[in-house]
Amino acid sequence: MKYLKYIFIFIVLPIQIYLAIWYTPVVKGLGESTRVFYYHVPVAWLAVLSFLISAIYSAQFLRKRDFKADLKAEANARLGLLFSVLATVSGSLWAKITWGDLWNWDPRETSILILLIIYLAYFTLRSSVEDEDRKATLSAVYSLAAFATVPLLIFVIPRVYESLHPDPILNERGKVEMSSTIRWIFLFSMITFTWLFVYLKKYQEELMLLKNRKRNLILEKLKK
Amino acid sequence: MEEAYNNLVYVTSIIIAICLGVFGYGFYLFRELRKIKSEVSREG
Amino acid sequence: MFAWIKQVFSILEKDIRSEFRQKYAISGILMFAFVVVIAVSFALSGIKPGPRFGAILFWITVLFADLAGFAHSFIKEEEEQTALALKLCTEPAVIFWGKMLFNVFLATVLLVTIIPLSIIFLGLVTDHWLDFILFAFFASLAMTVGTTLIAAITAKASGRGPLFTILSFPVLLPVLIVAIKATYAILSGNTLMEQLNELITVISYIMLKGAIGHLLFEQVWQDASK
Repeated sequence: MKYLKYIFIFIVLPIQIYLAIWYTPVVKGLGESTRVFYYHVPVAWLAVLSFLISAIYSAQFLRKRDFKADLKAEANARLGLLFSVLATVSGSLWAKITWGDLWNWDPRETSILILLIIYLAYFTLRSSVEDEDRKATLSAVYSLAAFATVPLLIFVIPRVYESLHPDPILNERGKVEMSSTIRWIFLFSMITFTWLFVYLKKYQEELMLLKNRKRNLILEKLKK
Repeated sequence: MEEAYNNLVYVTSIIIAICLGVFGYGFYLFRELRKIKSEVSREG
Repeated sequence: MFAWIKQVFSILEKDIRSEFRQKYAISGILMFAFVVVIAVSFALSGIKPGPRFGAILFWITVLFADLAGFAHSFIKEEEEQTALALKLCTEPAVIFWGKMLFNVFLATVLLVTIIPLSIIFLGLVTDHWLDFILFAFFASLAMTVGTTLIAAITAKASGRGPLFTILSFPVLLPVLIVAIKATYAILSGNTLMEQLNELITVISYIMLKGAIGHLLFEQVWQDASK
C-alpha cells in the first residue's frame, strides 16, 4: 500500500494541476479566475471536514476520557485553522478580482469567516487553561457547542442575505453553471485535496502524539 | 482594474498562495516528524 | 418534576439576592449600555440614526452589554469558592437552568433600560411597539441561552471577560444577524408576522442551544476544581 503515496504525488497531483491550470474551459463571469475555483473550494471543504472530524474526536473524548482523542481533536483543529485561513484569504482575493471588493459579506464569505473565528476561539480557550484534563474537557465541550451552531448558520445566513443583498451577481459564484467538463475537473480536484488531507491528518496526529510522548519521557527523566 | 479576473498573474498568485500554504505546511509536518522521531528513539 | 422546578427557582432567587447585595453584574451591564448609547448619540450630534443604523446600534449595544454581565454568576461561584458547595447541593441541570434564568433576568433588566434610552437618545421609533418589544425579548432570550454554557466554560478556564466574549461571538453571530435584520424591518414598518422567518429562527436557536447546553453542562460542571 505504500505505493499509494507515490501514485498521489507523481500521478494524481500533476494531473490535477494540469487540468485546473491548462485544460479547463473558462466560465463566462469569471474569466481566467475560474482556475481559482478548483483550489479555493476544496480548501474550504477541508476546513469544514476538519471541524467535523475534530468535533467527533471531542465527543469521543467526553465519552471515553481517552487523551488520544483530545490530541486528535486538537490536531484536526490545527489543520482546520490552516485551511480556513487559506480559504478566507483566497476567497477575499478572488472576490477582489471578480467583484472589486475585498469583503462583501456574501453568505459564503461570512460562513468561512465564522468558521475561522470558531477555530481561533477554540485555541484561545485551550491556551487559557493550564490543567490538561480540564483543558481537554472544556475545549471538547466548546467544540461541540460551536459545532451545533453550524447547521443553523448554513440555513440562516443565505435566507437573511437574500433580501439584504438583492445583488444578482452575488450568488453567481455559488451557482456557477458547471458544464460537465468543469464538473469533472472540480470533482477530481476535490478528491485530490481530500486525499491530501488524509496524509496531512495522519502526519499531524502522529506529530502531536510523539510530541506528547517526548514530553512524558522528559518528565519521567526529571523525576528520577 | 480592467478585467482583473482575466489577469493571469493575479490568478496564479492566488493559486500559488493556496498551494504554498497547504503543501508548505505538509512539508513542515514532515520535517518536524523526522526530527521528533529521531529524538524519541534516542530517549528510548 | 415540580421539586425540580422549585430547585431551579431557588437558584435563581439565591443569585438575585446576592446580586442585589453588591449589584456587580447589573451595574456593569447598565453602565455599559448607558455609556454606549450616550456616546453614540453625542457623536451623532442630534442626528437620529434611521431604522437601519438604529437596529444595528441597538443590537450591538445589547450584545456587548450582555457579554459584560453574563459570565458573572459563574465566575462569582469560582472566585468565592462556593462552587463546591453548590455542586453538592443539587444536580447539574438544575444549576444550568437556574443560572440561565438569572441571566434572563439580567437581560430583561437591560432591555427595560435600553429601550427607553434608545427612544430618548437615538430617536428609536416604530409603529409596532409590541412587535418590536416581543421580538427583542426573544432575541435577548436567545443570546442568554446561547451563552450560559460558555459562561460556565469561561469560569472554569479562569479566563475573564475577554475570553467569554471571544468564545461567545461565533456562537451568537446567527442571533445577531437575524436580530438586526428583523428589527430593521420592524422599525421600517413591518409587523412581526411578516418577520416570521426570523422569529422561527430565533426560537429554534433557543431550543437547540437549550438542549445542547443541558446535555453538555454536566461535563463542564463536574470537572474537579483544581
